[in-house]
Amino acid sequence: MVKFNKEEFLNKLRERIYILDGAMGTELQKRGFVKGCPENLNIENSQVIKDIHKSYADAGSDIIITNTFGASKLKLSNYGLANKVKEINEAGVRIAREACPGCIVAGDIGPLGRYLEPLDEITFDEAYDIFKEQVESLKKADVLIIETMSDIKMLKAALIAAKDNFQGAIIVSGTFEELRTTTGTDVKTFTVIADSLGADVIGANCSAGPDGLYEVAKIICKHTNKAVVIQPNAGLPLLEEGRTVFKEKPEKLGRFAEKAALLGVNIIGGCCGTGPEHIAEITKVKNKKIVKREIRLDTMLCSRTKTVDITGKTVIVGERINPTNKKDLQEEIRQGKTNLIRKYALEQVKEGATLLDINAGVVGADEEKALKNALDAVQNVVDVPLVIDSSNILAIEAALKQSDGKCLINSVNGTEKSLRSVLPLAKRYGAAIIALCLDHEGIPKTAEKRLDIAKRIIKEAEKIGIKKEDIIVDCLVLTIATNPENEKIILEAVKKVKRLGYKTILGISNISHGLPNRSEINSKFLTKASKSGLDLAIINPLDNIMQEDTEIRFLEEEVKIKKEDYDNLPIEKQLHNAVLYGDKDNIVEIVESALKKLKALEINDILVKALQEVGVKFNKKEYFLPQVLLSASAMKNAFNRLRKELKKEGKKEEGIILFATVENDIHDIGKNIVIALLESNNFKVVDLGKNVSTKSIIDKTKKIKPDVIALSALMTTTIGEMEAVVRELRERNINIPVLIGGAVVTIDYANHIKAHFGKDAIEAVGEVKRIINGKNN
Amino acid sequence: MVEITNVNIRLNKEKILRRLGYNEKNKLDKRVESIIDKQIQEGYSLIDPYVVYKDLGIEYVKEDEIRLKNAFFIKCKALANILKKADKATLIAVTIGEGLEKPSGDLTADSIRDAIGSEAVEELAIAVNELITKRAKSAGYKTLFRFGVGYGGWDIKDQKKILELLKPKDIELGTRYIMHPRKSITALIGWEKE
Repeated sequence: MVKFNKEEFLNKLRERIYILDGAMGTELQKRGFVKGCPENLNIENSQVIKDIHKSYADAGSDIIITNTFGASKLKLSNYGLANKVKEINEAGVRIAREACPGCIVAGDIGPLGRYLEPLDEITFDEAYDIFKEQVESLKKADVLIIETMSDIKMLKAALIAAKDNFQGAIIVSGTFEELRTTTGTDVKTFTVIADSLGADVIGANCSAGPDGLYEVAKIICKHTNKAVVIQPNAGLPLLEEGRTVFKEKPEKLGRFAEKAALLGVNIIGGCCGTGPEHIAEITKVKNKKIVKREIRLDTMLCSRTKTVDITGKTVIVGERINPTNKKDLQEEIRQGKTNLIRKYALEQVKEGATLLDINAGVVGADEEKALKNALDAVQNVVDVPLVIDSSNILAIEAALKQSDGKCLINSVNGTEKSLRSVLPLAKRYGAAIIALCLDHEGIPKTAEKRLDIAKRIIKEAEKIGIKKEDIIVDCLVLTIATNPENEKIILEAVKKVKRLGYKTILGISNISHGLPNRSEINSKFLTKASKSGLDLAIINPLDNIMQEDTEIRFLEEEVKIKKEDYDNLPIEKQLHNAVLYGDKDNIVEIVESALKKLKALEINDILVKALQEVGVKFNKKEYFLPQVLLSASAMKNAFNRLRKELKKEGKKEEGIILFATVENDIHDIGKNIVIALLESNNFKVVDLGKNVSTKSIIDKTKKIKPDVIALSALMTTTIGEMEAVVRELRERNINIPVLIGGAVVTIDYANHIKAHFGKDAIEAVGEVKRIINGKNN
Repeated sequence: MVEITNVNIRLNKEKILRRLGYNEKNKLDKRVESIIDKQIQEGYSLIDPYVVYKDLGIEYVKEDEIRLKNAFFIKCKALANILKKADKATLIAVTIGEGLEKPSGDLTADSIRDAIGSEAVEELAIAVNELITKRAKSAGYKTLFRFGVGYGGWDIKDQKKILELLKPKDIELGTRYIMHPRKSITALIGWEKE
């Protein structure tokens, strides 16, 4: 019987940390069970399994994992038990429930012990069937946990089998060494693919001790909004007198759990070498408040070993693996060969293609087989995300099963047939889709009508759960040879799609079909399209003229500050530089390191001095606004991390500021900048927003008694409200100082209404400090 | 009355940097520059230019008052001084839409977008000004300094009269005569015979 429904379980994970159990294998070894099939003990000696489950429940585990890790047909066949899949798995669930009636039972599914093709001989469908059988046998569990996944394709088969055949929540957990699985998938890519495939909880277990898995947890928490699970080993395995032992003490796991909780991990347990004593230490974090994670996710596509973020600059999709007008490639596909395909793949990636479009549709060839072969061939030689270019549903599905990463399906259009067949495939296999703006009436002549089709496709896609960031719109390029207005129409359509908030893709070379000097035309069009916001451009990367003429840059890595830039500096300097250079990405990690050596107040002092230096640089005009804001963001991140420790050490906020843009004024950028700087200087700011009535300001002032009231106005027609606020305050004998600022505000006006003045954000913060220091003296 | 939507605006990075307070003393490092570049790139897709304008005759220009034919009068000494020899004028309303106003959740990005928006609407107004100058020239006129509502003593309340006359479909007037979207400009361009 399902203890919780899925939604209930997932909601509860957002309320507090849940504790998984520890290892089964090492507990069995302690009790002398070192030979034979451990899963068969569910039938042969269920009491020992019950005792182990109960010991974990007594130690504090909320979730008990069934003794079915190796209970797939393939694994059981090693012991001649292939015909006992149902019996062993059902027994596993029953035993766990009998032993721990108050706990959540997680049906455990482990890897198959062999890889999927092309690494081994097991096909995707065969793997799916094996997993499906085990999932069905575990159907009475509350949740499923698919763990110790070291191959992304195996994860795909297992997760899809679970989604198809189990109604409860599904937890997936990978295993990583040096931040990659055995078959090379990095942590971010694993997370992105698991998320897109529909896992409810994503995480990692085994392979590393607490320190190693902490690094993994950090990356997972940064790349998903789903709940996260982490189960470290009790250290790295050591061989002692012919036995594998794990030596990490329970207290270390306890400290790990504290740190993991701060990252926003939702479920914590233990893997190899952990026992009830380790779980008892981990359980101490059980009632800690969950740290909420709200990551802004964008479009991401993956190969086996890397993730490409589609943000900002136009990304190149290589178009050459397409047999249209290529007789030699057509012949090769008919013959089942892949030499040219591999050559084109290598050439295009070398010339800057970030993704590759793969089309294998040839008359006289089995497209399903051809596309599968093409994908295999390409994945064998290059390591980029792939665009599956076909209108044959069977071929698309075959390719999705074969792909190692997260693909883009080219494409779905506005016809009923396409919507009903392609969208469910994309959802099932975790693929992104290209929404093509045509329907049964053909390609509309206007940008507006193309947008209507796009909206229709988007609505249907989002209805079945395909996320916004996984929908990329192709407004369809038509040649200017037949209508010179086609360029204008398509660029207008791209902008309209961008304003809706969706990504865009175009087949660039269509613009010049039928014309001479195609490369020059394509190149100019690509530049214009890029400036209109084009996210992905399907082009021939080997076209030299395109490369030279175009003003767009091929995807470059976003310039970030690397953690290695700091490594040889003393920690005090690292802290200082992180604020000075606005390194909001690395500062929390630097603060964590600093806390091992310095008190929170000492760290605070270093950070504040650095921010003061930013202010000085701004006043000297060596820094301008974006640099100040980046420093403020870094400071805010650091403060958020230090808040708890600073409170313990007795550090109070510097003061309370009530802030508002006055009535009838709707400008707030300037106000928000000042607020960001005040917060980074440890002031508490109560922000009433914009267009705030005088009455609301007075009422709030009476309620919270701020140290300073700050007002912003940007219009000559609204500045008068500032005087009204000051007058109302004084009439009520409220003598709290008022600080004013904004584009139209001058020091003369401030003097006239007897308010303080801040001409810019830095000066405003300085003035607040002077006011409060003046009050305190 | 003429409406135009397909105006291509080129975003000038140097001007945007200056709006953000950049000057020769700043050390613009690659990272900050790449952040600004990214916002400019995205900015192109968030800009939705819209222009509406109407040519009007000028009935008279007195010391501090201008009467537009079949329209309304304007009380502004500075504007009257510019238009003293003009017999025609074009009223314009332009906007780049609200795409750049929407908070992105990142204050650095929002402040850069604010600067981009200010630059973009100014570029749009310049582009329209150039168009009107060309039209004026072909009719034997030169155009005079573009004068914005709310500046040089031109009462911002006249915003209401202008928008009632031009009826721009993408610009509204809120309380205290603030236009929505915020990055909008209304102005008058005088025509003087050459």
